[in-house]
Amino acid sequence: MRISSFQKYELLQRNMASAEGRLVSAQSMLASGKRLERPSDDPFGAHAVLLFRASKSLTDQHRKAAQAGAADLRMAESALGEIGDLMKRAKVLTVQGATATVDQSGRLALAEQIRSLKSRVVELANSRDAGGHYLFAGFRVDKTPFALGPTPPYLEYQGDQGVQYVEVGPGLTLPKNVLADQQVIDAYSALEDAEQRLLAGDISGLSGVTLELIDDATNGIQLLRAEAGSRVNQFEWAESQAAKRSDEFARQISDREDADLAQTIVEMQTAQTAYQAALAAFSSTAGLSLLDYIRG
Amino acid sequence: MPSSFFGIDIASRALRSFEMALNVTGHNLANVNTEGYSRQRITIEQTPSVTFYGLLPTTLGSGSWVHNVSRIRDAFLEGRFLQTNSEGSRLGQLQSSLVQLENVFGEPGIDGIQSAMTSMFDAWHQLSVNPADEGSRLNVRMTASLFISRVRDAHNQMVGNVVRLEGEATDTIRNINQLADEIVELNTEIRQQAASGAQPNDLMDQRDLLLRRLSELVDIRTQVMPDQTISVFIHQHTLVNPIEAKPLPLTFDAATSTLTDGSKSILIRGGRLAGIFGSINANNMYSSRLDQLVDDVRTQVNTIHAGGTNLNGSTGIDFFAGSAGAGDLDLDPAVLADIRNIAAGASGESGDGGLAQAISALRDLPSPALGGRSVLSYYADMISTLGQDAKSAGNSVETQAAVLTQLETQQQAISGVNIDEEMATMMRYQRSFQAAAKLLSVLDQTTEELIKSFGR
Repeated sequence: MRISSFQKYELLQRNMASAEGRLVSAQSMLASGKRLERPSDDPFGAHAVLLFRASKSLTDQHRKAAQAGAADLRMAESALGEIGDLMKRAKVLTVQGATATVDQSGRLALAEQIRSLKSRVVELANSRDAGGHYLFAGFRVDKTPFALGPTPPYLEYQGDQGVQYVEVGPGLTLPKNVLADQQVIDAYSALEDAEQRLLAGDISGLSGVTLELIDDATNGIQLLRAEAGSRVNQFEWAESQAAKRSDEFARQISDREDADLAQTIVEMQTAQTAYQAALAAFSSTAGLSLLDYIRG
Repeated sequence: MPSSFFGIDIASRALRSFEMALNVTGHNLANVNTEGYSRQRITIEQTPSVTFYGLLPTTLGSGSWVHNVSRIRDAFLEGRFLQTNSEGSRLGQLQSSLVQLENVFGEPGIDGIQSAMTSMFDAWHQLSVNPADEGSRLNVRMTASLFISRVRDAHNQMVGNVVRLEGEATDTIRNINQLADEIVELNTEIRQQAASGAQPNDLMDQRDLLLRRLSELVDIRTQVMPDQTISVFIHQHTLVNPIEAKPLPLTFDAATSTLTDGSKSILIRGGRLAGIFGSINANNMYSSRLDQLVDDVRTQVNTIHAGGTNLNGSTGIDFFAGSAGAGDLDLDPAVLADIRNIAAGASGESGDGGLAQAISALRDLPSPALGGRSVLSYYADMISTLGQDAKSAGNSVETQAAVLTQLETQQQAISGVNIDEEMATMMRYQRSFQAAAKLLSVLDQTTEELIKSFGR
C-alpha cells in the first residue's frame, strides 16, 4: 500500500500517543487503587456499589443502635437487680422485726433501715443513662419519673407508657426501654407497709401481709430484670448480625470497586513495554529516507 | 524535409516540459505537511506528428508537451469521510457532555448526592435511637443541609450546562453559515477558472477542506456539478446552491433537533450541532430525573414530619421548604431557626423517636411517584443509566474514530505526498532534462558543423 510521508509520521505519533495513554491510565489505576472511578467504567458495578454503600451505611447505623440499646438495657437490668437485692434485704429486716425476741426499740431501728432502703429504691428508679436521660420514664426522658407524693402509696409516676422502639436490622425493631412504674410502686408500697408495721409493732401483720407484699414485689422486679436481661441478648445478637452484614457489604463493594493489584501491575508493565516499542519504532523508521542514498 | 531547427524545437519543448514537471514535484514536496493537500500529477503528451512530402511521404513525431496538471483524490472516499466525520463529531460532543454529567453527580464517591442522602437518612435513624439528644437533632439538620446543597449544586450545574450549550448551538449555526459563504466564493472562482480551461486544483483542495470542516459541524450531502462547482445539502435544505448560500435560521428546538425559520423546519441529524442538541436533551433529562427524586423526598419527609409534634409542642410543620424540583429545595424556616422544631415523634415527648424511624425507613420504601422504586434505588438506576449512556457513547466514539482513520488512510494512500516517491520522480525528470539538454547540444553541434563547413 502506498503511504504518504505525512501519514507515516501521523501513524507513528498516534501509536506513541495511544501507548502512552494506556500507560497513564494503568498508572492512575495503580495510584488510586480503584477500578471503578466513574459510572461509565462499569455501569452495573456502579449501580451495585451505590446500593451496597447505602446498605452498609444503614447496617453500621443498626450496629450503633444495637450497641446503644444494649447499653441502656444493661443499665436498666443492673438498676432492677439492685432493687431486687434491696427487697431481699427488706425481707430479712421484716422477718427480724416479726420475731418476739426483738423489742420495740429494736423495731424502730429496723424501721429506720427500711426508710433508707425506700429512698435508695427511688434513687435507682430514677436512674439515668450516659446521656443523662431517665431510664424508666417512657418517652418523658427529660423529667424525673418517680417523685414522692402526699397520698398512699406516697410515690407517683410522672412518666408515660411510651415504648422506645429502635430499628436494629432490616425489619427488626426492638424496644430499648423498660416500663417499671407498676413494679417500682409495688416495691415502694411493700417497703412503706413494712416501715409502718415496724413502727406500730404489728408482729402478726409483719409476718403475714407484709412478707407477702414484699415477696410479690420482689418477684415482679425480678421478672422485669430477667426480661431486660433477655432483651440485652437480643440487642447483642442484632449487633453481631449487623457487624457480619457490614463486613459482607464492604467485601461486595471492594470486589466491584477496588483494582486487583497484581493484575494492574501486569497491565502497567505491558503498557510500558508497548510504549517503549512505539518509541523504538519511531526512532528507527522516522530516520529512513531515500535522501540518505542519493547525492544531489 | 523538416527545417533544420525542427529537432531544436523538440528538444526545447522537452526541456520546458521536464522543467514544469520538476516544478510540480517541488509543489508536492513543499506541501508534504499541508492539511487537505492532494498531490498533483503532470501529464505529458505527444504533440501531433508532422508529415513531410519528399521522395516518399515521411511522418515524424514532434516531441511532447504538457497536457495538464491534475490533482489525485478519490471523490467517493471523500463523501464517506464527510459522513463519518459528522457522526464522529456528534458522538464526540455527546460523550464529552455525558462525561461532564458524570462529574456533576460525582458518583460513586463520598462527594456525591448518594452519600449525602444516605448520611441524612442515617441521621434520622440516629435521632430515632436518641430522640432526646440535641446532637442527633443538630446532625439531622446538618446532613439535610449537605443533601440540599449537593442537590442544588447538581441542579445549577446542569442548568448552567444547558445555557452554555445553547450559546454553542447558536455559534455553531453562525459558523456553518460562514463556511457556506466561503464555499460559495470558492465555487464562483473555480467555475470561472474551469470555464477558461484552467485547472483550479488548489482551490478545489481548499474547498474540500472547508467541506470537511462543515461536516464536523453538521451532516451534509454534496453534489458535484458539471461546471466543477459543488452543491451542499443538509437533509432537505439546500445550503449551497452552488453559487448562492442559503443560511440556516438561528432558531432551534433541541428536543426535536430541528432548526426553524417559521415556515419550514430543518432536521439536524449529525455533526457537532446534533451533538449539542443531544447534550442539551441529556442535561434536561437528568435534571428532570433529579427533580423527580427531590420532589419525592420532600413530599414524603414533609408528610411524616408534619404529622408529628415537635419539642416546642407545635405540629403541622414541614421539614423541607420549596415547591417543585431541586432548584428551590431548602430547609423549612422553622427547622432552620430552631432544632427543637424537628419532630421526632408523634407525641412530642423528648424520648419519642417513632417518626424519625419512619423517615429513616423512607430510603428503602417503594414510592409510587418513582415507579415503585425507593429513593435510593431510583438514584442508583439513574446513575447506572448515565454510566451506560456515557460508556456506549465512548465506545461509539472510538469506533467512529477508527473508521475515520481508516478512510483517511485510504484517501492519503491515494492523494498524500510521499517524499521518497517524489525524490524518485525528481531524479527521473532530472535525467530526462539532462537527456533533452544533451539532444539540444548534439543538434547544436550538427548545425555548427554545417555552418563551419559551408560558411567560409
